[in-house]
Amino acid sequence: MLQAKNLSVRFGGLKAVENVSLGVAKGEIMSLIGPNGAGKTTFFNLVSGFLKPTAGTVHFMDSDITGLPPNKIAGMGLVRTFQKTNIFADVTVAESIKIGFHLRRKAGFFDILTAGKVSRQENRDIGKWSEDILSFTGLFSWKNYLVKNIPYGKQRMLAIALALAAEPKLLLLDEPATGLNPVETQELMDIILKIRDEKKMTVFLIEHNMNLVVSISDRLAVLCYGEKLTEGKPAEVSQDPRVIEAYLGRGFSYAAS
Amino acid sequence: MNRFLRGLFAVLIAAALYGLPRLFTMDYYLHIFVMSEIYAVLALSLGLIVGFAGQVSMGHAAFYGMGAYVSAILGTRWGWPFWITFWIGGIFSGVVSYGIGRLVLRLRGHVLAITTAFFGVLVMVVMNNWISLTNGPMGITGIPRPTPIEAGSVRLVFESRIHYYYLGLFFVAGVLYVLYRLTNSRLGDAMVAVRENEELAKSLGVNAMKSKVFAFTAGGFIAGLAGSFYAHYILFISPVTFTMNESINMLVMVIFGGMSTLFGPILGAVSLTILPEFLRMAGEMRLVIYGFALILFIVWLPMGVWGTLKNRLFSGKA
Repeated sequence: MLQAKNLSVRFGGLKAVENVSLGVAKGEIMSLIGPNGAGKTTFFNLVSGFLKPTAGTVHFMDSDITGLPPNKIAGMGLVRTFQKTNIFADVTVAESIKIGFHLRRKAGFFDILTAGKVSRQENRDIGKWSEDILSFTGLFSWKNYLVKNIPYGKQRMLAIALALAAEPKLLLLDEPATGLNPVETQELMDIILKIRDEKKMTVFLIEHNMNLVVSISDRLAVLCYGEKLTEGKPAEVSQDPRVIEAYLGRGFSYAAS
Repeated sequence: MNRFLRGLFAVLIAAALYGLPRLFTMDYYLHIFVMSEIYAVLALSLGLIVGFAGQVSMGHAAFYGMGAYVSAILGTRWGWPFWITFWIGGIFSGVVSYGIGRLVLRLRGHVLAITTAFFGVLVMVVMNNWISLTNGPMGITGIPRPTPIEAGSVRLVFESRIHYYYLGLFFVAGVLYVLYRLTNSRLGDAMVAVRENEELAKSLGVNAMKSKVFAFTAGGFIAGLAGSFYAHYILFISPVTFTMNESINMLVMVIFGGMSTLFGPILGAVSLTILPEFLRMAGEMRLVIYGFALILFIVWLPMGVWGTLKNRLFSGKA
């Protein structure tokens, strides 16, 4: 579904991502892990169009999306969330979800001006759509609150809800569990699984929470210093001496092997 | 509010607006009312750019002025009727603001504000110096009034201020309707998305640049229409009407009334057109009091009068 080939980006002399080839298959949950500064978020930025690669290509659903602007890529069905809490702060939760439906609303300019069929139907649909997504993510009771006033965990969830509102085929989640307490993390895991199983979306996530990664991922890839170390099933990857070395240093890798 | 109450409310407002000039019949009052209407349209159009799309423009008077000049020149040189030059003035401003928007909207915040302000100055310089076209600082005189509308036995003339008042009501209502439709559509939501968080908006598929340029173009177009209306009402225009002061004045109306609402700019425009007139009795102190009042309002009600009221009354979650 998503295929990155020999993807590289350099900032001056710094090789942030170097020659990484990675594929995500339809219907799986794939995780990208690696120590801090390994280039995981940079890789997401390259794939979602927020950065242009210096070399390599990205293919999504059989079309070349290398270097396209983010809004185009989102329009093709690849939507990402951000590592920092990225939300529309000064609107209510319901209004903010409405914005997320941008890609699903098609009313033309004159249709809008004349209150035509498409735009009236659209404005009716939105109510139902947002209800669905808000209940799916457990935000329904918060819908009338200003986004900046709801708890942090709910804001993180809202960021995912916003991405879901765009109905992506492939959802990129950048560290969704950051700052969540254990209960919220458990909720998040359930929702990610539901996204795959009920919404039939493919999920590609970056995460540091190993418990979450190992228990829900179908496959893992490991980045270190901008290069791909390995990829495979969670059980295999977590035993790989190179991975242990990358996280814990050389001494531990001997101990582990 | 249910349907009946809402209908009743609308009828009451319409009746009040209809009866207003019968109550205050002096020309002086009527002039203030008509100017309030023109400023309401200007503030609404600027509100779309500043309030909804979040792009601060300090050169809005340029688009107002261009609409006025284009309409006035066509009317005085070639005798084109107001009903055509009105639209041409708007379209001209809209086209120019599209071009300028494409250029300057990649800038943000203060830099954008300063750049648009300079554009306003530039247009002023052209108005002052392209004498063969604009008659320079002397301005354009003898702008024709709108020609009467004749439909069967009905004949609508536009000769006194009260006629302009009623024409202006239709103008404001039309602009309000268009903006209401726009801001309650995907186009309006895209603007809010860009205002709130451009990066996130892009990740959700919003073409941020297109959205900003659209707001700027629509705002410029409507300001151009207002300029044309003004020119054919005052019947004389000169560059001094379209200074940066005027741009700032519009911006203050939007902020005072409440950004990102539709009623806010109208409230701001009407109260800030009428308020200075009340302060005339204070003589020399007028502008000092006015300035202080504005500062206090902005400190205490940063969301504007209507923005604050709306939050208190309807959501209770401010």
